[in-house]
Amino acid sequence: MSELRRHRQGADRQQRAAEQAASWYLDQREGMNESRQAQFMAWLRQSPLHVQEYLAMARMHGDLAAAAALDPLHADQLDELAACDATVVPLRLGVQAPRTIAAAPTRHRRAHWLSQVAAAVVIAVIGATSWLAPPPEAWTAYASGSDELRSVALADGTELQLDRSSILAVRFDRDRRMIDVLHGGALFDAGHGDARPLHVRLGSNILQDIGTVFDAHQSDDGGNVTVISGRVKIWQRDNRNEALPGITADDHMIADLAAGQQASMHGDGSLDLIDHNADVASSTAWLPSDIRFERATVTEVARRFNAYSIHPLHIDDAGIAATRISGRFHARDMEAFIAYLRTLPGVRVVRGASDIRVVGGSHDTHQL
Amino acid sequence: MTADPTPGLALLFDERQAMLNRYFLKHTAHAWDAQDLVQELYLRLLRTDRGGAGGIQNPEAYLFTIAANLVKEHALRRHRSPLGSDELEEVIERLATPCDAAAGVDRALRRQRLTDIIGRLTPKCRAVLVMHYRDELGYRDIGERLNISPNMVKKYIVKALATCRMGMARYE
Repeated sequence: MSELRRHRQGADRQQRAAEQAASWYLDQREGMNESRQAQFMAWLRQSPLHVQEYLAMARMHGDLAAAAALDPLHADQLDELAACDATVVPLRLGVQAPRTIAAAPTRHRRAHWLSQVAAAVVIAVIGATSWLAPPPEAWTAYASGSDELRSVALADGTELQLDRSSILAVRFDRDRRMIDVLHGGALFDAGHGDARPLHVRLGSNILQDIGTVFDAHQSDDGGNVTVISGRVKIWQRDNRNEALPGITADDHMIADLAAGQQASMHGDGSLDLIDHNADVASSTAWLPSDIRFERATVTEVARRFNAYSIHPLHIDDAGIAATRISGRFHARDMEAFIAYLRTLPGVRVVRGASDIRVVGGSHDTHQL
Repeated sequence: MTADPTPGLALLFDERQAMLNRYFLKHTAHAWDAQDLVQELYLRLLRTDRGGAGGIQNPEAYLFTIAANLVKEHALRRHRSPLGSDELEEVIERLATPCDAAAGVDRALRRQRLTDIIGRLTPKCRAVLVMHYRDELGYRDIGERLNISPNMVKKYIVKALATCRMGMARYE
């Protein structure tokens, strides 16, 4: 038997023991009659692993209420999330299959054992590398309350600004970055420098991001996407491929939006209309009205202003970009920020047709 | 020390379960290598059976009490400072006090890790676990909200607890 297989079997054994320990622990809290107590004693005596897992369960149990209290989702949002279970979890069919099976409640031990075998077969078919690869990252959900906006920085550098009462599920795996808008909407500021494509699922649509800042909102009668900068392609999902991740051959593109454009979709993902001169300010009216920052780099602050403007501000000079500043500006008054930047030594501002660039003093440019 | 806990300790366990839980949180991980504790505990469980396990009314209390006694013995050996009383309560008091601050930091870290793991559970497992432990909803109430049977709710909780345990084991 290979080392790897032995390790895997050990992990499976521990997983089973942990489930049994959890089940016994819950039963103990509910009260057990004499014969069940005898069965419990017999189970403990079966293996030191059982003793170990039972003690571990008892230790962890003391932390559960406190840890669960830190969960950001309200009960209603949890309801909604649970209802989305089937559509959120299986994002990569191959590697995900075992996880999906494992996530299903065990009907009884035999079925569970069979599912483990089935999972092993699936993994074996995919190839040995799947054994070596780290387990696929589970999704992480972010939610905002009914009276708060929430900013979230993801591992790839993508920044999300959640509108009120919104739920997003984020999942990054080896091949793609996937964000599901489960409720409400958000402003997406895609991180650069990550080769994996970023897909945002919005109801029956998939948004394919191409270096972009955009707003996406979901309602009962369809989705709404406004591009602040960059480009976003919108695909209508083929319902037959509900469980498949990303864009498939059966999906078709219904819009390719550039900065300042907006698309509305029907509930089934079909295009309602495209507004080529969208009122970006009104689409993003929900964003905070001011930008506050403390010891942030000029680049970071510029990025935050860029969430509001279809003429993004680019800081080309590395020295200026890394300068740390503190302050507070009206979010829709980028000019005030530009005026402030121009007070810094050696700063020149160049306005192009689609963007505004901040360059160092040595550049031979048209200074405003 | 015999494997059979005194009735006094068993009674103490029943009365002081919350305190004993805290005691476990503080000590079983640090005061002793967990594997040694488990092995010794297991051997004692087996030995007890020879003397007749039928008399044990509450195996869980029994298990925790032997565990507490083992940790106590271990602490006595390590510190070589004989305690005047065998009373579990006093032992707990003495063992717990000096490392309260460290235990607080540990606890916060552990809870944060557990929160992170809960956030990565599958949606149903997460929903069920949080509703049960945070919102204190019973299986039936949760089942009605999620349109699943109470039995299924319990299975999701079991699955969630096991996943949390496996996740936490990576930090140990």
